[in-house]
Order: sequence, then structure tokens, then C-alpha cells
Amino acid sequence: MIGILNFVIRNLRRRKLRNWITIAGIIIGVIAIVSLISLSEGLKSAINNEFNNLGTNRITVTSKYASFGGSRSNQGLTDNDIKVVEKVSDVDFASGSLSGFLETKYNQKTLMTSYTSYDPEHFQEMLKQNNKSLEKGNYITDEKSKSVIVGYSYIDESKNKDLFDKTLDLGKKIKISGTDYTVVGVLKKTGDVRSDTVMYISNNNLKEITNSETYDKIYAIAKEGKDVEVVAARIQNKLEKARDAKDIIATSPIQESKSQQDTLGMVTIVIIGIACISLLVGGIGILNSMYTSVFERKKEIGVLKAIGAKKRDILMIFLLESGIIGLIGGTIGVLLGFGLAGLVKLVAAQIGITITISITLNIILLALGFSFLIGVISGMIPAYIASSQAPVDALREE
Amino acid sequence: MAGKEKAVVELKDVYKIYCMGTEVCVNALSGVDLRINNGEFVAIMGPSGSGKSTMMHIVGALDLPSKGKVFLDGTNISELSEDDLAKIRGKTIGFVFQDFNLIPTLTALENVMLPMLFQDSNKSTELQEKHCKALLSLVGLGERVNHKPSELSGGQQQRVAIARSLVNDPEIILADEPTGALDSKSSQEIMDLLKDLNKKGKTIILITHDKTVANVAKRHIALKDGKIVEDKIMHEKK
Repeated sequence: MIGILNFVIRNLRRRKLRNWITIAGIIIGVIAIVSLISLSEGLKSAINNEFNNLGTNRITVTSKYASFGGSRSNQGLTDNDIKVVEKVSDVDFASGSLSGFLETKYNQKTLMTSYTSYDPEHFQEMLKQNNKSLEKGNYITDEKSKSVIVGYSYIDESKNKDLFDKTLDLGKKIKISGTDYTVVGVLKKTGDVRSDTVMYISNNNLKEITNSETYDKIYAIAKEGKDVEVVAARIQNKLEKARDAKDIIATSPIQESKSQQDTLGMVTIVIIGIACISLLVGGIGILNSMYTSVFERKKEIGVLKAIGAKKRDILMIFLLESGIIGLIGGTIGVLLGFGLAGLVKLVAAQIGITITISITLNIILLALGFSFLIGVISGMIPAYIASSQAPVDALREE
Repeated sequence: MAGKEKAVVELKDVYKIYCMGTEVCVNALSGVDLRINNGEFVAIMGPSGSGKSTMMHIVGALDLPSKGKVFLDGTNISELSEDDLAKIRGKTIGFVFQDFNLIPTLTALENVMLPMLFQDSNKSTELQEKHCKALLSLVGLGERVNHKPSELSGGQQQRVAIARSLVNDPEIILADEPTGALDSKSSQEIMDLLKDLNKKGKTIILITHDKTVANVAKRHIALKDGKIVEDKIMHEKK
């Protein structure tokens, strides 16, 4: 077996250029698969972590027609809707929320920063639902005051380079969309960069800045010990009746996590499907190369048979050869694939988006196994043709 | 006749018929009877188209007869499966071809070791290597074990091929025009080598159309139109 392997490797070296071209086909396919899986697995685990951090009795109400960004449709969620939700039985309290990106200026530097707003009445409770609490300072209690609570990253010197080049602190003033705000609170570190760079202001202020009358979301907290999914259904029912339209969705964290995972899973499958097509094309490249090789080496096959090679020996030689082509392509593809995922992470970080990539042994083994298998499968027909060659015919070839 | 009176090759009323389409058929061999004993040095001669290549294929278990029986070392090969034929070839016959047919990517030593790959041998690699190095020394290439075929002359390549043919210690060396691609000096050396091997007890079957080459053999068999037309024992020269 080792002897045959040695023989096969020598053979591969003989047609270097052609084999590298064939290998390139596999490399491209594997790069695509590995980088995409690595990114989507990273995204999946990031989503999982996020949901694990959320309060389990928080129900999220969103409008089906809520638009992204600044302009909000008139189907948005109103103060009246909050009142309806609060009256649903087993709901402890409800609070509206908005979020978006705003221009923030401090230390002569302007950044697009992620904002979330809550009702000052429930500020502490809403942050707690997100697993957040104050490191120092106070919660926002007055909806009119220009106060802001910042994430931990803004007081973390090691993050300065990516943020304002200078740390913020209690009492410092920053300009949000042109208006001065005072930092009144700093949140504890969560470890998640995205989460640690969010700023919080009151609903009233964010509505004013974005010129909006409605909320993006209403959070309803179910009473302790009640079935959250039942309460969510009840809210959905009541709110639809009150609004006289089936245009809202009330979800529990469990449902939310599940539906996000489902969507992501579907996207992953589609993307990987496309990547697999490129791997298939790579496989056809191997098939073509091996097929040519069999015809070129007809005489050699004859000689091998004359000196005692059995059908399965020839089969083994050619299958190993195509398998190794696949494996080499797979190995290089895995390395470059992770490299590409890392590059995407780096580029994303430059523009302020944090992406987690996942490099697991599973992905590596899967990619290597799969590329070896593609090689072997592609080599099957040529190998079979080679092994079935009658020794006399093979030898007669000049 | 030299050696023990044991038949290593026996052909009984062997026919090989090639048909092109359904109508035109050619008898490459028609009713050949032949017995070659252990230790003989036989030259099979004839012009092209006489059936000598077909003869070599049949004797070498590379092909099966259309009709008749072929015994190799006492085994009737006419009804064997392809893999069994391969096994018999590997064990009983050492092939030497006109154009050497070495594997260009392998060194002389690796080429010689190659047939062992396909035998179920339980010898260790070191032992196999030692054995193959000894064979290369025997053919006078002890110093060139790590050379690639492209770094060797034609005569040297043919010696490697002869060493390779000996590796599984076969009964028979089947040489198909072994000097066909060599100059006269190298040819002489190769024929001397074959003669030596014969003296050491190997049965040598030489396929050639060259009379001077055939003269080294002790028995001449002439083929014409697929039939043996002459079979005579030559007198030892010198």
C-alpha cells in the first residue's frame, strides 16, 4: 500500500502543470465552501450567544411593515398599542423602543454609532432584559433631558483606535446628530464588541432625531412563572383586534431565536449548494484530467499488468491518484478558505462590523473528506476504464 | 536438452482467431503444439505477421487462446480469470520488452521493486530492497540503483528491465525483441546476460526476427502463417 502510494505520488509529479490546473478547480470550490461555512457558523454561534443573554420572559412585538432606517410607516407601533399590550393579562409591563445608526461626534471625530432608545420609566428593566447593567453613573429617568448611556467600549482605552481616539466618561459631552448630549451612565462590559458599542437615549429624544411618531418594537415582560409563548399569542390576538389589522408579530425569545436560526440555516444551505456546484465543476476537471491520463498511459497500464498487476491494483492506483488530487486541492482550499473568512472579518472590522468566524476541526475534516471523496468519485470511471484494459491491447499501444 | 525434463510451457492445438467484423477472420495461430522444458533457451522466430507476437502473448498469459489448451508451469491457464492470470504472470513469467518499458518517474531500484508491489509478499521493505539491489548488481548496475531511466543508456535500461523480470524469481524469462532498440555492442551484452541467466537455470524464451540474435538460443522455432514450420535443436557453439 505504501509502495503504491509512493508510485502514485511519483506519477502525479510527472504532469505537474496539468495536475495543478486540475487541483485549482478543487481549491476554488473548497475555498468557497470553507469560507462560507466558517462565516455562517460564526454568525450562528453569535446569534445563539445573543439569545442566551436575553431575558426569557420578554416578548417582542414588531410591525410586519416596519421599514428599516429613518422613515417609519404609519403602520408603526404607537403609544396606544403599548397601552393595549399592558392590559393583556399576565403582562407585567410594556415599553416601546427604537433603534438606528446616528452620526456621533466627539474629540473632532465623527462615527456612525448604533443607538437604542427606551422609555425612561423602564430603562433599567429593559437593559436588564438585555443582560446589561450600569458600571457607573445613573439610568436615564427624564425623557426630555439630553442624556446618554454608553457601552463599556467607550471607556476602554484599548478600543480607542476604533472609536473616538479618546475615552468617554461620565459628564463628557458628545454631539448626536448635531445636538449635545451628556454621558450619565456607562454599562458593564459584556465582551461582545457589537453590544458594547451601543449608546442608549430616551425614546423621546430618538423619536425627535429621527422624526418618528412610532416605535420599532414594543417589549412586553410577562409576569414571572407564566408561559411566555401563551402570553405572546394573547398579545398578538389582542393587538390585532385593537389595530383591526393583521400586521404585527409578537414573538418570545425562543421563537425568535428559532426563526433566525431557520432563516440562517436556509441561507447557509443555498450558499453551500452554490459552492458545491463549483466543487462539482472541479470534480469534472479531475474526471477530464484522469481520462486523458488513462489514454496517455495505456502502454504503462499494459506493462503493469504484464508484471503482475491485478485489476484492483490498477483501480487502486488511479483512484488514489484522483483522490490525492482532490485531497491536495482540499488542503489548500481549507487554508485559503479560512484565510478568506479571516480577511472578510478584517475588512468588516475596518468598517465597524464585528463578524465572528468559526474554525473548527469539523469543518476541516468535512472539507478534506469531501474533497478526497470528490476526487475518488471523479476518478472512478477513468480508473475503471484503465483497469479493464486488456493487457495485450494496452501493450500494443505505441 | 538442458535441465530437468519438466514442461514449463505447453501449448496443445492452440488457435488464436481475430475477426474483423463478422466475415473476415485471421488465424494468428492455427493449431500450434509446443512444449518447452525447464531450463531451455528457445528462440521463436518468424517474419512480421507470422504470429510470433500472438505466440508471445499466449505464452506470457497476456492473452487467452480462442481454442486449445495452454499450460504454464503445469497449470491450465485457458480458463483462468483475469486476476488469476495476472497472479500467474507476476509469479511465473518475467517480461523483457523491446522498448524496455520502464516507468520513467521511478529510479532503477524502484522499477525493479515494482512487480513486488502486486504480489502478496510479507517481506519487509528493507529485505525487498536488498533483494533488488542484488539483482541490479547481477546485471552490472550495482552503482546506478538511484538513477532514473532517462539517466541511463538503452543497454543499461534493458538491464534494469531484466533485473525487474527476475524480481519474483520466475520460471520463465519472456523476451520480446530485447535487442531491437539497441546498438550491436549493447545487444551483445544483453544476449550474454540472457545466456548467463539460462546457465543459472532460467528458461528463456526469446521472440525475435533477427537470426544473429536467435543464434544464442539452443532451440529454434520458426513460425509462418500461425503454424510452426521448423523446430530444431541448435548445436552448442564455442
